[in-house]
Amino acid sequence: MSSERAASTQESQLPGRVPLHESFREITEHVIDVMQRKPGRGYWLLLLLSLVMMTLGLAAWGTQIIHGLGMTGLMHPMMWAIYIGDYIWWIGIATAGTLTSAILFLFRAPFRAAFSRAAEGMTCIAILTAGLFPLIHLGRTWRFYWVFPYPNERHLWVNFRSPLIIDVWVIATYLVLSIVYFWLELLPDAAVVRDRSTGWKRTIYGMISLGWEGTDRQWKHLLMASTLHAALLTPVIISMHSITSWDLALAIVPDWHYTIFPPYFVTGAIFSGLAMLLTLMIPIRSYFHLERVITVDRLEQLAKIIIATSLMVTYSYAVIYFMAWYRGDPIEEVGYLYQFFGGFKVLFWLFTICNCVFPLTLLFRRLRRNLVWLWILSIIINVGMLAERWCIVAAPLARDYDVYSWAPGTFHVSWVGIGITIGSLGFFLFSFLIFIKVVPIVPLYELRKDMLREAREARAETEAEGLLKARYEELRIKAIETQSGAGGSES
Amino acid sequence: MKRRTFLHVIGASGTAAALTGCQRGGPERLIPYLEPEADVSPGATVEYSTVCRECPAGCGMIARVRDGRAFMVRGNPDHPINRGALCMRGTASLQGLYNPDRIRQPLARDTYGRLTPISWREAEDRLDAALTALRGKRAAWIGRLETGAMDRLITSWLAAIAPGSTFLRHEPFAYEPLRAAHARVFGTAEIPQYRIDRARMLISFGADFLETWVSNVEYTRQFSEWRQARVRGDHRARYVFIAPRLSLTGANADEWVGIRPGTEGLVARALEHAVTAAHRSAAGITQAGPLAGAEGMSEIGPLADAAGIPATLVERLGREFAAGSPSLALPIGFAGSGEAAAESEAAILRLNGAAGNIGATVLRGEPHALSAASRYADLIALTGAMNAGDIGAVFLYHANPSYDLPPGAGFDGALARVPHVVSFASFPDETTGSPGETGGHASLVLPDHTDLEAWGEYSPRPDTTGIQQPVVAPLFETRLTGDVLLESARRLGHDLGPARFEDYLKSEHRLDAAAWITTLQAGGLFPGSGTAGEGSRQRAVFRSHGAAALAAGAAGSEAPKRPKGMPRPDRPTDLTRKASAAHKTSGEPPTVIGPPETTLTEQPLSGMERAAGTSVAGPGESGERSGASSPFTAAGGIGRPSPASKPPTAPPNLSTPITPSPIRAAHPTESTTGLFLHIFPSIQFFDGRMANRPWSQEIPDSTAKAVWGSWAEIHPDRARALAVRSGQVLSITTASGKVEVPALISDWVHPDVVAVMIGQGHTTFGRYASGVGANPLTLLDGRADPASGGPMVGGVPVNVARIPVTRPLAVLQTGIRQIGEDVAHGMTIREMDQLPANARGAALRDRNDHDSLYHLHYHPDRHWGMVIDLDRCVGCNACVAACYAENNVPVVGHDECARGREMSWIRIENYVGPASHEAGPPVPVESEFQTAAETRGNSMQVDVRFLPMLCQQCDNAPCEYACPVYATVHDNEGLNLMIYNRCIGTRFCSNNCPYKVRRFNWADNNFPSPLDEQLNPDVIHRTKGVMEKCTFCVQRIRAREIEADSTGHPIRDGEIATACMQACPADAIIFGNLNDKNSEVHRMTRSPRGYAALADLNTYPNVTYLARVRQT
Repeated sequence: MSSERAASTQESQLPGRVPLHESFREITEHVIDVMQRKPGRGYWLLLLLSLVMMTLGLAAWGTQIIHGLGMTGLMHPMMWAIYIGDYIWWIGIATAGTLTSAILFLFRAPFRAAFSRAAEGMTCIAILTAGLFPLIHLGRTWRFYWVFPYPNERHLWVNFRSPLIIDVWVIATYLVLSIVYFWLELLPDAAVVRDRSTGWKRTIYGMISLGWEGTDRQWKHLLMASTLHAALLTPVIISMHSITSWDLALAIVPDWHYTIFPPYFVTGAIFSGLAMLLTLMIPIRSYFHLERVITVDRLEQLAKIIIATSLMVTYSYAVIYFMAWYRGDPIEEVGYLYQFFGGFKVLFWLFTICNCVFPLTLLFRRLRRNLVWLWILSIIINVGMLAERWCIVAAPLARDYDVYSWAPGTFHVSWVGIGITIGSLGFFLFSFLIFIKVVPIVPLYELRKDMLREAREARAETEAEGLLKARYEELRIKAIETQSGAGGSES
Repeated sequence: MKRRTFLHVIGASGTAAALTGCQRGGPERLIPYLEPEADVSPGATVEYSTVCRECPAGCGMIARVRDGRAFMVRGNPDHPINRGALCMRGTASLQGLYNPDRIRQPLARDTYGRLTPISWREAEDRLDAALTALRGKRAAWIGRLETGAMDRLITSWLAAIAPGSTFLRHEPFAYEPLRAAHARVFGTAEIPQYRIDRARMLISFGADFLETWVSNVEYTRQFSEWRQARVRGDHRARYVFIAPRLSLTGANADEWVGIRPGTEGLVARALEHAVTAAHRSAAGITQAGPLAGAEGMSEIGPLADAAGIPATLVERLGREFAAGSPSLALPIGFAGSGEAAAESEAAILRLNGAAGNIGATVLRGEPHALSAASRYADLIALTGAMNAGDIGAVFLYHANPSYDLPPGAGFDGALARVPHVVSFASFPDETTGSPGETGGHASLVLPDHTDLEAWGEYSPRPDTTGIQQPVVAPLFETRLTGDVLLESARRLGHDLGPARFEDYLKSEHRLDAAAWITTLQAGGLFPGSGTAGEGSRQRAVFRSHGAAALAAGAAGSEAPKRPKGMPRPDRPTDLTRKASAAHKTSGEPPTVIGPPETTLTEQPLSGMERAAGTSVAGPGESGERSGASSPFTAAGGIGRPSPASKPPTAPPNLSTPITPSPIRAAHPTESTTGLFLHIFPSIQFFDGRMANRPWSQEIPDSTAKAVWGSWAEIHPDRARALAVRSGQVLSITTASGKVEVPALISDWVHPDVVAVMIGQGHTTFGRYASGVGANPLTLLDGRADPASGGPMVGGVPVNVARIPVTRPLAVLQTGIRQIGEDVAHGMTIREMDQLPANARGAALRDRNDHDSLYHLHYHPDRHWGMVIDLDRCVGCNACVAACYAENNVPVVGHDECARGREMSWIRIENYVGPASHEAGPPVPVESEFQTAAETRGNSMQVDVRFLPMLCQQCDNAPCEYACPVYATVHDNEGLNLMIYNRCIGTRFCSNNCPYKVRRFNWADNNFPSPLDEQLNPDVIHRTKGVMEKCTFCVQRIRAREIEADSTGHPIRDGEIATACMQACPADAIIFGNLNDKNSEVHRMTRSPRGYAALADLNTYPNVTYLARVRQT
């Protein structure tokens, strides 16, 4: 311990490192305290707000079920608009959570630890939220289970050629994997909470922690399982969002039918998901005083990824518009002209500015490290990506092969459509507020591991330096000895 | 509770319950035949022939009835007028029968002035009291045009109860100028028969013969044959439309000459000169000839200038008109009947005479029944009599003058002075009033059966009489007006004949029982009806009206059915045979106006007036029927109301020197904006009597594609000047009135015209029509044209101003120009001729498995397919209405339509071809890519392609792989099936359908009772959240297949007809088995003009379109 403490004095000045002036116990106390502290008024207000939003959403959904999908304001050629847009947006947010957690785990990115728990939680909640939308958008929601191939006496089966069925499977796979991964990562921390609580809480966390004792054998298995799951999740998020894009790209709608859609959707998803992560983490950081854990440096790392994905998304847009022009298909051209200057121009220019222009401000280090701007920008990106999802779902349907059926304007959204979107945000917010009160928001063992690793690295450096010094000293002495010896012998 | 109180309560509640049970009288109709009648087997469809009475055309109709409910109507294949086709108005007659707003029992005014229900006994008493109160005063009967028994019954009834009464056969579209012109030229006020199919050059001066004009189904058939003959190469005739507005009829033309309203006569006269000149030059007579001074080319220039069109255009058209003999110039329609109309019609008639068309394409001697309709002036005269207090009672019979007369005519005020107004209306309307309300004028309402519940007859032409028999038992406590008249006459001591109208009708025709049954089965008396045609053998007579045994025998026999598209034995496609047949049936040699250089003489107008018929005829006054005594002075001895059925008393004087009457101010005085009103009738509303049928409202207008409303069509130049955009409300004012309707910017009108559709703007006409749109007739001053007695409709100067309100129209078609010409193909005749004889349509390009990831479907037995000939399709929406009826397609209303949520499974898409792009595209629908066109009175090529778009039943369907639950699958007969019960409503199939023909149920669509009784029992009623689409009428296919499997009779070609194919007046739709190498559909699919819509998407549609052919 003393060596760590000694090392921390010099290491804490290095960027990107957890300050090591605290002990494991202090860190643990701090994080658990965030979780178990009696919540303040702000928390309750937010919880109330989320409940109100959820109620609105439920009322809207009920109205829609009773009176039919006509309540949403959808219209004929644009059979999909707001719900499928919301769905893709939520799936995108989930994707970024997994990316932060799993991919960075595989790459052993040092700044991952601070976000991974929140990101995994966000993933699970976002994917549950996203999963609601395919149900909500069905004409006959009460028959949703028909998309699963369950045995029935009439031998009805599902159509595996349909992108929607592939979507169902990939979402289900992703949900299961995400929850398992989240749980695995939670085990040691749940055990810590278990050990620090009493009564029914102890029972519950005991069940969650699956009898974790922290033995070497358990650690070994946990590490193996985490690595495997992270390795499994990484291709799954790529394929999952690719498949989500197939819902559009496999259709013969002219402006959906692009091979670039899968990578474009994945980058867009990461882009929006990281923005959502920032939207969540920056308030949490300040509210729970996690500045010591979630440092500005780590947030800056995220901001850098956001710039990269923003540029990739911009590139995808450019490729799509270029191809629409270059291929010379008049229907594609008409469709995009309609997006640029026609009924979708508000949405189009909104998302173009939000997604392509504003993120460029992060090229400036000062803005990148300005948390207020970072937070505002994350909201801007979220809005932009939602607008983009709505636009790319609905606008191509508005201009199709059959000119008679062209939409006369942009899509209409009634209070039901808006209400359900707000309700989904409420559901997400509510779930996240519950989440931060029942689960350590920062993974303790990861943090400890980081601290240990850094300490070890620091010590190793120190030791190496010492060795070098010793060796030098040795050589020097040797040299002196040799010199003196030679001289002595001579003398 | 005391025992006594208990008994009180029990007694009171028991009585209340019993009373509730009594409320709806009549039998419970859930299962109409609990004990089936002899010839009715539950669940089996029986067909009854009857007559369509929705307009004066009088088409033969067959109603399909199951378990006492009529669920579908189709045309009578044997009837000479429509030959099995039916327009959308005819199909919508079902919604008249089952209209939820019908008057359900007799009504009388209570002390508060409201129409309240009374019993029939009380109604009879009140009628008797009203009739007794007449005491020698005159009465007036304002009813729709009837012929035969009903006409005679009304006549004799009026003569019995109130001698000297006025009998008006009120039809708003009575074509008075046309009749006046004929009266002036030939001495008889007749609407002749035209033979469009024989014309080698066709000019219409605005007669919308494909929509409402006289007999639209008949003329659509002729026009379709004309086009077919052109494609076959029998002729290369052109069709030029000369009118201020390009109506649907005009959109089918090859060329449109947009003119100012009222200048038709000038153009006709200029053309006449051009024709004469052309004949003369053909005959080698030079300009220096004896007649050159009067009839030279020099006359053309001033006339053309006055009409505002180039003289060269007139000369060209005149040359063509003279060269194509026989040619045909069709008259002005209702929209053009104005001040100069009678002279213009006379000029057109002379033009026909000059080209030698009288007797060839204009057949006199077989006048249309409309020739007997009363004139507008007669109604105005009656208004005067009513105001003077001369009229003791007015009887309204399926007439609504308060709506269809301009307020300036003063009819409402006059009617209010009449002490007794008895209405036989079936529906609440402006004249009669509405149950429970104070509006309207009727003091007593004796509701008539609707036409599908009633006995009757109608003769559109003297040799054609359709007999109308009830197809269902009366729905409500209504009574046949014929019965009411006979009974009331008997109660007052007059014997008019048999006690019931059914027997009266029978006795009028003097047929024995067997012949009567045969007549009923055939649908009437017309050439060929005695021989058992297709319809007659499989039709039964309505059981509850007698003749059960005969009917049962007749109903059982299965007649071999003939495919609809195939030539029928009695329907020669050969034009010469047709011509000779027509001459034979007319019973007299057609009057032929001789050599082209002869011109017809005009009789003075006074003579014309006499001949055209003054219907307000007091005793002793000469009636409208030449040679006949007034119908009101004698009870009998009146022939068919066909004034011109007899040959003219004197042959037209053809040798008198030409003294052309001057065309009067054809161009009315300028209004402040220089705009003139153009009121046009439309195919779905006719004169407004169809506005309460939901299908009329929901099926889009055939050119503007707007639904549920009125609009003002205005030229883009004018719109720019007024700074108005589509949807902004225009206030159109004249001295007489004002209407406010949204603007619709359209190149299909002359710049000097603002066009408003007639038929909307009802105030009291049931839930579907009341308060929808505006009635442009209120803009007229109500004067009658002194020359013809017609209304002054055309060329009324108006002020148009923009008011700062936007009321967007629900327009169903967004784009008018295709992207890339992939959907509606067109070609010129030259291009068609250059197609190699062995060319195969794009639809039939070789299909192979390499084009798709999945294997192609295999259709071992049958492969259903359809061919739609765009060259025959005129865009009349008949198929759409038939589809609505057959497939229980719901009506969703204005707001839903505005969101593109209309449910129609088939729609007519109007596309403008590239030919008119260059000349200036006619654009009825404003889209963001619209460009203005200059029409300015010049001619332009018309290249409008009407494309019926329905599910293409693709063999490689994009919708099928999109569905996650196999709710839409392919079957082994090439059908793309839609399984409603499996659908969960992802709507991916609709997104993935390039034809956008799938419709989604956004809500539960209900049919207000009794409209639900019209639903086809073979077709499921879809619920909310379910996708639906055209099924190729799979219920008909399966029914016949099951029959074929059980009886072993193979399915012959043409035996299965989809509803759209059955209704189509133009025979544009052919359905059949593509695997049958001898089938019509197989043959036509191989037409060189054949192609598949959006073929490069590899969808392999089973619908093949044949490209439209245009002249140049």
